[in-house]
Amino acid sequence: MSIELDSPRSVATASGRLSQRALTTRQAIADRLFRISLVAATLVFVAIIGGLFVELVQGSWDSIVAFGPAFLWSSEWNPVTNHFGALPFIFGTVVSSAIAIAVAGVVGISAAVFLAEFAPRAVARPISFLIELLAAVPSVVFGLWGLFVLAPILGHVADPFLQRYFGFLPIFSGTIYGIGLLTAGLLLALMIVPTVAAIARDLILAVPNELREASISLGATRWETATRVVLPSARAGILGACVLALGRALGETIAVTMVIGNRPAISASLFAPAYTLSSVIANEFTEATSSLYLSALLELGLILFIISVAVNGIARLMMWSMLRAQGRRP
Amino acid sequence: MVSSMDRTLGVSATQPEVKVRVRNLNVYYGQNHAIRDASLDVEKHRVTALIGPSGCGKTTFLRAINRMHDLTPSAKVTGCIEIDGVDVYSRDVDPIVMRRHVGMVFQRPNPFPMSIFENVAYGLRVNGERSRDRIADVAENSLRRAVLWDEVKDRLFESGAALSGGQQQRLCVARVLALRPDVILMDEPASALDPIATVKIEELIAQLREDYTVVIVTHSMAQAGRVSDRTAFFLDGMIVEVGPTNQIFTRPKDKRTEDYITGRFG
Ligand SMILES: Nc1ncnc2c1ncn2[C@@H]1O[C@H](COP(=O)(O)OP(=O)(O)O)[C@@H](O)[C@H]1O
Ligand SMILES: [Mg+2]
Repeated sequence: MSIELDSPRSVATASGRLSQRALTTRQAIADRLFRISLVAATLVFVAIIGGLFVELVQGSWDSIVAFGPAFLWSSEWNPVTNHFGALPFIFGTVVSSAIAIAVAGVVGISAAVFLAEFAPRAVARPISFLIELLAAVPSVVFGLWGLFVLAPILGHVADPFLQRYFGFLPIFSGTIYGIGLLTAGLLLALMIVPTVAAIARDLILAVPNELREASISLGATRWETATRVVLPSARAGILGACVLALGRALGETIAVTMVIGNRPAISASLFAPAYTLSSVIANEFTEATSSLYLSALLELGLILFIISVAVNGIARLMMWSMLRAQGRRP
Repeated sequence: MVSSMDRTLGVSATQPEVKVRVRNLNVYYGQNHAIRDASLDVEKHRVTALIGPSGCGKTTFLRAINRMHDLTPSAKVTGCIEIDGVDVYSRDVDPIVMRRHVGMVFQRPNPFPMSIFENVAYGLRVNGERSRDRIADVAENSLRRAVLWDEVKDRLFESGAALSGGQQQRLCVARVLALRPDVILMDEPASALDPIATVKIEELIAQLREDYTVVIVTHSMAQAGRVSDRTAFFLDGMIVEVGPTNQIFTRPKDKRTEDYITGRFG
């Protein structure tokens, strides 16, 4: 950080007159103050995140000591016997978020391509507005809608349909409750689709028109132009949008709690009830009677924190490599 | 009218073959009448330069030839443009197929954000070529024709964006050549380039004349003089005068052309 502060000066000293003038002006001081405040703001963020991590580790220390790494793959969650394991919650969080980002990615990117490349303005404008409106709906409202509209529809119509034709797949087998992993995943998808669609649309609109014209002038159709030139040009940013959306899905609590069934079980069936890291923390935090119980809940929080950071880190690496080399072998 | 005048002034004894015949072309952007009743014969295997002050409609005229105005909702085109006797605006002509035969090089180099190789392969791929060997062959040939091969042969799979501006523009030419078009349209292809890169592009255009029919818009009269066989002078959306380049530059017929050539303009 301190190197950052000094570097502009060293550039300026390369030409003597320029640096002398720059150093004596008031702007130079203002410039320095501005930089210092930016660095300070950055450090505050780093400190908050670091502090959060330390706090979580401290809070979950009892549990870490008591269960060791086996906490990660143990399925038992029993406050009576004081035996705790995170696996069902990790499973619920990962699977519901995976369903959400798969559905929201496909739907959101398709919607963005349609809105930016094909829809006439009279159609694109109201739809874009609705999508942005959707992003503003509070989670708990999504949860109510999920419970009273989505869950009955899935439970009575969609799930039986899937089971009838694809029931041979384990993921569509078993008892249908209406609430469960699939319902939670789809509700999450609906909640994050505006993020994907709105950001992807803006990124697609920002692709220079010259690229479209070049493609069209080579005898490509508009569809080929959109899928082979425009989308790949925006793909690093679109990946970023998906990660942002995935982050929201991983941490979403209240809406998921209302439709996932809140049962710490691992089942092959997507129709079965499940439980997520954030839901169990929210539901059981106030009733955690023993200190080990509380500590185990905090360790779940630590795991969620690490999953989120890891997802972001991996995405950053992918975006970085995409931007660096946009060429590939035939 | 214009064409009969040309013929009497033609330098070569044999009658040149007309590749692109434009008749009574009008282009409107909403209320703006950008091209007014323009007619022009573009001769085969010649370089035709379009010159004129900024905003006079050169780009608009050029983009009418490969129907790029189809993409602009506000643009309306009337009149007739024939390539080898086929009206490109007729209902039987699919603009997607037609554009394959009419390549375009733009004012600013606009390589796709893909590898150099994929840039050249793109046109073939979207036109249904599957054979990898053939694509590789054509890509190499096109890059050689665009005088870029020696500079990029060791980094074909690196991004086209990493090339210099002049190299990017030659990559854009190679991308067009890969489709073996009949006509190549160029809109001020050197205006964003430095003098050395400009010379390379001009040398390239001179070579292309052997196999292609080239229409080039240029804001530089010196460039028109260097690269073109024939020149058309545009003013306010109309073609004022067209003829062999040296005649336009030394003995213009029209007072307005003379004023523009001698720099007495605006
Ligand atoms: N996409 C467009 N929409 C509306 N008007 C345009 C558009 N493109 C060009 N024009 C107008 O058409 C006229 C001719 O422009 P253009 O063909 O670009 O001229 P040149 O290439 O000779 O500089 C100008 O008045 C310009 O403002
Ligand atoms: Mg122009």
